[in-house]
Amino acid sequence: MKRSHFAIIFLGIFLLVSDIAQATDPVGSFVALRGKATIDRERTLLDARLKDSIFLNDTVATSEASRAKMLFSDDSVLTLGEKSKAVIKEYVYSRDKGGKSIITLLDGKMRSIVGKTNFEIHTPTAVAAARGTIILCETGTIDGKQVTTFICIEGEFTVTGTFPGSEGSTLLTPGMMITIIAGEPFPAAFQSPGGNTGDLLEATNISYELSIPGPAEITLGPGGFVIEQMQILPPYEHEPGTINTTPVTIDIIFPK
Amino acid sequence: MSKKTTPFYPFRKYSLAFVSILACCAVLLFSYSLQAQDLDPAYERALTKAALKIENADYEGAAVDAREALRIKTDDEKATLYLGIALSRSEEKEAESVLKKALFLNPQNPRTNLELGIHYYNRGLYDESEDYLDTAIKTAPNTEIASKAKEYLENTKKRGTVKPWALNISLGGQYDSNVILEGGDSLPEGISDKADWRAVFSLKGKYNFLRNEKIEGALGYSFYQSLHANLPDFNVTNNLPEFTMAFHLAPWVSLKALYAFDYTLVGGDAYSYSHILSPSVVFSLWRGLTTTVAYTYRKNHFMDTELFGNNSGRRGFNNAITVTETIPIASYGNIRIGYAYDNENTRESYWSYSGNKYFAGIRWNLPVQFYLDLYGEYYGKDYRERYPSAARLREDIMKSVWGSLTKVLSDRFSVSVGQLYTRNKSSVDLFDYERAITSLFFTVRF
Repeated sequence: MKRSHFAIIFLGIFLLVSDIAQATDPVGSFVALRGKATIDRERTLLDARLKDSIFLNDTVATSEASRAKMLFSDDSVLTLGEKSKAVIKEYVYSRDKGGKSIITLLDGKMRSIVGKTNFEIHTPTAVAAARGTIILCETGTIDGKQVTTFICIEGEFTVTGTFPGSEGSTLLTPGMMITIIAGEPFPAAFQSPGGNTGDLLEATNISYELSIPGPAEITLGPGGFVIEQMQILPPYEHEPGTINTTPVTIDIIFPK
Repeated sequence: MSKKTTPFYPFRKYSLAFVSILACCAVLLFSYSLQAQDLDPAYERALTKAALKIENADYEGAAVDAREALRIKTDDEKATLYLGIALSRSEEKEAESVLKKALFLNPQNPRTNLELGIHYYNRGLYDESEDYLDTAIKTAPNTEIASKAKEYLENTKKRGTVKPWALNISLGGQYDSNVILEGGDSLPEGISDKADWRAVFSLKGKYNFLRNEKIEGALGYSFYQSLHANLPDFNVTNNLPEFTMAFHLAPWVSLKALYAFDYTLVGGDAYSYSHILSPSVVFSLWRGLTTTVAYTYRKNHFMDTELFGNNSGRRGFNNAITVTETIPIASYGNIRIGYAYDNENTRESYWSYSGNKYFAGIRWNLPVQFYLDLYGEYYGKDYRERYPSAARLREDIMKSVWGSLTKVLSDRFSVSVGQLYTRNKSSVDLFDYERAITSLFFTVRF
């Protein structure tokens, strides 16, 4: 077999392996949860728990009165409001080269603090493309029509209407919002009323609940148990540098 | 006053409705700008990363992210609290001041109160801990914070059964290839040039009569007895009561003082006693890195005995300055390096010298509760006058290495094996020797 054949086979295996690695590496973790959230992973429904990993193609959903906050490896932070569903559609990130991520918000409310990748939010009616911004997004059905709202909090991003009849594009700057209704002409962006922004911020607000360690049993004498260096010579052979009778001590707490 | 002179005169032509709309817009813009200020993406990212790292026990990384969040929002309460938690979990001394700063920013934050309570609990300062735990319960009743605070409080209440003292008793055997009465600076008669087995009993007791956030005081007593198989004249009995005080001036600096009285009998006869006074300063400036600077004054009183007739010629005093650097290696242990200079002044001036000592040691915590200690030192001494029978001025260079391995068997028992090797190269043959000691000890703690 020619050398070139080996090289092609080797390259093929390398690409396959690297592709598998990319698909099996976690892309993020849950950092805060309130109520109930689930992960749909390869048709298996799992309960989300704090610190659980998130993988490519996972669908994360929240129940009523629930919220979930996720940190991704590019430092993006996504918070899903109650009764929301999002899919990690695409996620490629390299510390040196950056990358691209696509989150599809199928339903509900989401706050996105965009990290180092080129970031896109896809909804049934529109796409928002951004980098280094804070985006509030809500999508759902009103009177049988799919409606999506985007609000820009920081930075700027482009919103593109993708539903037939709602095509168009605009740039959102801080404080601007846009609501795209399926089938209706692409609207103009306008200054977001404080109430809308406040409601969406509140709906996607969740505080971290850091776990609290339990107390260690107090079973110690002064300074705890001390594993002392073995006393090889009598203590009176003190010399400079070893005047203390316990030259090096390390406290060790023995749990009961 | 005419309408023209009022401050609002220029706006008289605008209707009340228009002014109201303008005011509403201003309020909305103001409220929006407030929300936007709260949402700095870099701050949010840093804080989120800090939270995740705390959960994953990466406290060093969490502290870096929390500091980044604080760089963006100086004096931010949440970032300060997270930094305090990260530092407290990794037992950094800075934790206390950071958590107190978080408390200053919001004295009613139950989590901050709880974390301060936990911090003091873990340091064994239970009185301080109780105050903060009580506040945590009061400010967040019927929450997880309150229930955890109660757990800690219940444990601190049990401490009535905790004794303020500790006692270590060791019993072991040694094989000494060259029994020497004092390894450091022995009389020629004290170097036996004989190997022997000996049993060793040692006891160390400590009583903490004072312990709070600022001051610690303790009384200690050590007892040592060796019993040789063939050289009973070299049996050593040593008593060492001591008194120590520590003043924690700031999280990064403590003053310590030690007084000890050292009384030794050899072969059953009084051999020496010493008064030892040692003030020291301990700096903990960065990630557990500790620098100790100690001055030690030691007044020695040697007595003549039947076997050691010229012992009293060594009476005098010793001044020593020691600098020790202790470097923690995460949870694996620590490294200790140091230098000491000492100056011995004696009644017979041929025992007087000045010495330079360099030393380094490592404590390594191995799996399944094994602890490895390795230590080495170089000690050079230049004597001021010629020893009576010597042809030249005495110069000693002593090199010692030793290692020991300790296995903790339970919370009360441990067993240790160790090996010491010493080579004292002296310009005077009388003091030139080699020595190796192999040891096995059992230790029990009360």
